[in-house]
Amino acid sequence: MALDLLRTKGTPPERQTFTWRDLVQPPYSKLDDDAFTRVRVILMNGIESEAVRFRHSCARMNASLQQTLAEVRRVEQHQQTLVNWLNPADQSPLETTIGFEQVAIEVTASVVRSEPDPYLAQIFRFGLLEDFDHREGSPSQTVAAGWVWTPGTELAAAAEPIPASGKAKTRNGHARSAS
Amino acid sequence: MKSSSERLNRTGMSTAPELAQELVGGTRSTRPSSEGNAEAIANVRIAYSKSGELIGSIPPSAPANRKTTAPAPIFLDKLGERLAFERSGVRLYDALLSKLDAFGTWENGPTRADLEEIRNDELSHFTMLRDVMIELGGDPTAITPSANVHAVASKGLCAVLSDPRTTLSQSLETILVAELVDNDCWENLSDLALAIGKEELAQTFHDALDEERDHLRRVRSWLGAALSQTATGDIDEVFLLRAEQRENGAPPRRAERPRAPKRTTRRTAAKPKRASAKVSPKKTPKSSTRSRAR
Repeated sequence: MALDLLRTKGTPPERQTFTWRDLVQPPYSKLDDDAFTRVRVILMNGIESEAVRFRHSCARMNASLQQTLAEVRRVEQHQQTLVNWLNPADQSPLETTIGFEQVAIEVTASVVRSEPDPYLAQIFRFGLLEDFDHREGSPSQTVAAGWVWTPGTELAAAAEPIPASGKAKTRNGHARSAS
Repeated sequence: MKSSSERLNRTGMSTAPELAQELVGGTRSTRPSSEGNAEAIANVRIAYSKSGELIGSIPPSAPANRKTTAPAPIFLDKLGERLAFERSGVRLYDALLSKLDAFGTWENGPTRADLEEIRNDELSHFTMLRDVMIELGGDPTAITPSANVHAVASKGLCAVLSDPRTTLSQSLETILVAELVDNDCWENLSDLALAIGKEELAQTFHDALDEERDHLRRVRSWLGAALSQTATGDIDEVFLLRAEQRENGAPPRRAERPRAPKRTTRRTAAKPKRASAKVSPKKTPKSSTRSRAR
């Protein structure tokens, strides 16, 4: 069910507390879970991280808001920690970095689809292709996990099982190396 | 770069003895703010371990030949483990070759040809395992749980070898860890193949094990030569006799000088089996003068 911000009363910050057991949840499996699980974790961690960093900067420039911002920031820092620790300990920095590039592709593709100005959309597409280039050189299927990204269409398609030739076919007909 | 005489290791408390007592006193006066001990930490570890989460699952297999029965999952898991380790082994020896080119070797140390030969052995083991995996219907690109665990466990090996500050002998110590693990794991894989009735594969793996045993013997010999020359300026007979004992499969002794029953010359005691592994003072192509063990 989608969150309706106008109807939801929310929870007061002082009641938003976390125990260590709340914070430390089982991480996703690098070997078994879908690549988009990693994308969601990295994206959500980025959003929580930005919330913390913004409130920190804002507090430095607004003395009267410092206590209120600090109270909210404490909760958001816990939320960010919880989300970030869903990344498993066996995920290498390289795999995490490639995951970040995947997030950049997804977020930019989403922006392109909703951008009404064709000139701006073109600029976003250019950025999208740059991010796609950064993702190239993925060391293994570990990160891609059966998904094939096709630049230009901004569509992600699940790859069919890899044949012995090492080439994967996507559902939308674009073939790319699955390595 | 500072020479070793100009450097000072400041990690020990003896660097500032007058502050050491104060530091120890501080730990006694500031007690932990919460209750609990090592047992409580262990209980948390156990509780999380019992939650049922796994690193991952073993990839499925589908043999191309219908007459071939699907292998036991544990066999595919361990095949994937060796495959990944051998692939990484090639990269480790690549990095070791850079150390050799940078620092040169020492008397009875490795030559470039030695290291290239071992690297090529690792590569051939990798390709052999890839072919076996495909034959059994497995996916050689998949990371099996055991392969993943070994990759995490050996992260430090890559960190040492890719650190530009480490020397050739320090890097060889690191390779020794890899070769020791590799030897045991090849033994296990060969035994596992025998246990599930794959005699032909067991023999193939045993052939690889023989080569790995030779790698281990050579690495130990190079390290012994480096240690001895650094400490005494020469190759002490204790290292030669230790190598001889290992060759003969002698049981480990207490810390005492090994006794040689009857030995003619020092050189014959350390003579390697393989012609390519002959040890003699050599220079690497990029080192103009023979350097001491570094």
